[in-house]
Amino acid sequence: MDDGPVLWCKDLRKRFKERLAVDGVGFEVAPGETYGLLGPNGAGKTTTISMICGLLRRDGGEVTVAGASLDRDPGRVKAAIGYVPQDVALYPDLSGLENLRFWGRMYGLDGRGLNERVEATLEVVGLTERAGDKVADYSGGMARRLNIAAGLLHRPRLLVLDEPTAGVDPQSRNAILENVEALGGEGVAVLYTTHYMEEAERLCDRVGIIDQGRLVAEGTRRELVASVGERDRIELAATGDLAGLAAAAARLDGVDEAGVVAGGVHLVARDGRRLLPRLLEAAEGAGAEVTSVELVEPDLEAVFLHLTGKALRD
Amino acid sequence: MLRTTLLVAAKDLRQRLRDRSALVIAFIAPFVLAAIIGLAFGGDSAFRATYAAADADRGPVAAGFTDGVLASPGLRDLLTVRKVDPGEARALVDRGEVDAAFLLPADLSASVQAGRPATVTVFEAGDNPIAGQVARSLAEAYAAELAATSLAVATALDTAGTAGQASAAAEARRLGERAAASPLPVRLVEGQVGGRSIEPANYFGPSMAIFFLFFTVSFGARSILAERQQGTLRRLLASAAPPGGVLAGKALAAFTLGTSSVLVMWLATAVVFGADWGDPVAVVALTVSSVVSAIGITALVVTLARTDEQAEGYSSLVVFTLALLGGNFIYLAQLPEALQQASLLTPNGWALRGFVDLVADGGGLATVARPVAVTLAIGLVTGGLALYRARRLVAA
Repeated sequence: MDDGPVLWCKDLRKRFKERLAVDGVGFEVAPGETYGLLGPNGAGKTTTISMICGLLRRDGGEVTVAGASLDRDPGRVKAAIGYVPQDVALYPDLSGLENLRFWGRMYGLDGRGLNERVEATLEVVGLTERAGDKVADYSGGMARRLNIAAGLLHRPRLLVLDEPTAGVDPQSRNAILENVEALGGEGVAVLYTTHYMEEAERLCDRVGIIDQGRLVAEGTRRELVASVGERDRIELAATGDLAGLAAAAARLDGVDEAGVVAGGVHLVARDGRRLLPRLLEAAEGAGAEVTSVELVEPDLEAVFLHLTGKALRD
Repeated sequence: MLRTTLLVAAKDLRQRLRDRSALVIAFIAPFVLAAIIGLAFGGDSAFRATYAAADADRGPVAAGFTDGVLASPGLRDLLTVRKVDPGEARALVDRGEVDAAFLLPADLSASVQAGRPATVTVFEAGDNPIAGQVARSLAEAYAAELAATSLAVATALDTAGTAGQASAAAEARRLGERAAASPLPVRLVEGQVGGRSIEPANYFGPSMAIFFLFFTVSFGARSILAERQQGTLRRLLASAAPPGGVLAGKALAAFTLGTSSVLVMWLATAVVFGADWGDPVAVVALTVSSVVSAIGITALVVTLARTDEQAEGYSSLVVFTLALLGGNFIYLAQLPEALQQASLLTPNGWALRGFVDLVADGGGLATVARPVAVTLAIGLVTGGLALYRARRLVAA
């Protein structure tokens, strides 16, 4: 099972009275992969991960983590997961060091192994110098980083992060994202929920778009963009024969539209990044000199808007 | 499960020991309040008074009062009586050297013998009104007994028709002796439970320990709500910690702190006030059962609340009600009969009875078997209900 996905879930369902919070959600996360659940507030992200972590009873569906079924071996599943809640879940009257030691022990660590893991994890989140301070004295960003550290202590196979940057200042947010980026390289599977499109684009190898409890699309960013027919925009600033440049560009495979605008040429294309070398060759052949290129790729915000008819922040 | 229990208990205790307010409630407040209430009820010992008796009569009726009443077995340990000259009595009271003075007039015996009115004067010092009140009551009651007795004697003398001088003196002596032998008009009590005397430190030591015990252990149950609010409960449950282990850990921490609180109070009152709570084994048994009942009741109350703040309000209300009904602030025996019965509905009332029985009657485990059994049962029943209700807090 080591070669298979770390997390596999299928047809997860949860109803709160009249409201169907999660409706048939299923996906998998491979070792070293960062999977993002992207959706607006109230879409069902937290409910989904709560069911995966065994914190919420499912109305239906299956969950397997590191080869263990949540129904048959919940203890093994929980031991394989590092859970980082949305809000800082630490004891403010204990120091950072005491918090980590407590949470490490709760995951079975002890003795020298515990001390080594605590030291290493404090180093990772950059809190070694403040380890002896009470968490109550930490800034919001520091507390968030320690919050993540507590989930990493026992080297989980799957790290579940529930909107870890909500309400965090830009500097701390960047530090958190760097920490998460580094995890993929260590082989940790990461399930990351967010309603920040930029975070999903930066961190996630694959993204599942969730809205009103349903997974409406899933794939890499490019796959998602392609699936909804969104195209790249290319603005070429150029001198010389602009009409010739536009005509040559229009003949290239992947270019859907090309027209002359003031000081250059405007193109609509698929996979603009791969098209750029050929475009520059075409410009040279057409007797035009390209002075600058601006490539605007459609983002997940556009995908989400296309799929749901509303913006992520709505 | 055991590992989770111990880890959670150790963590909770560490948090509590860093909380100064918790330490004050567990260890300092019970002692201070017991000392204050103990002093209010007479300080560190029994009621004591010093009286002056000026006997100008030198006759049998006056002797009946000074020797028969003031020096009677029921009062002689509580009263210090100085026999003084009649001219000196008032001055002693004014100088505060005695709490009250009795002036027994020169013709007291003769007047009583002749059936004439006689006046016994009582001087009271203003700074000890209780001692003055007691002195006045003693004199009034003795006078009332004399009146009742002299009526019977006078009737007998009239019937005989020969009231010679010698026989009259003998009758006067009889009058005084009979009046002095009558039941004491007042009973000087310090604190009484079931008619038994108990030192304030021996009553209010355990009493305040039990009262504050409820506050001390209530944190255990309330911390579940606090952990739910701050998200750490969710994290605990995500860590594969058995929910039962988490709850058991919190109960263990509350039990440890609660037991320590009562035992420290026991030690402190013994060292500072010389209190003796009785047989150590029985005291420990009563302490343990009281702690269990306090944990059970506060846990049940907390499960009725939705937030920590709400739980604190509910807990305070219940704890004060139990304390007032249970006799934590006033001697059980001084409560009206209905309230004395109502105190049996509270673990406080039962525990206090146990502690009082130990002090007043002596004995060991057998003496407190019933209070221990009842408080333990209260704790187990309410704790069981609390556990049942707490499932919603820790269930997936």
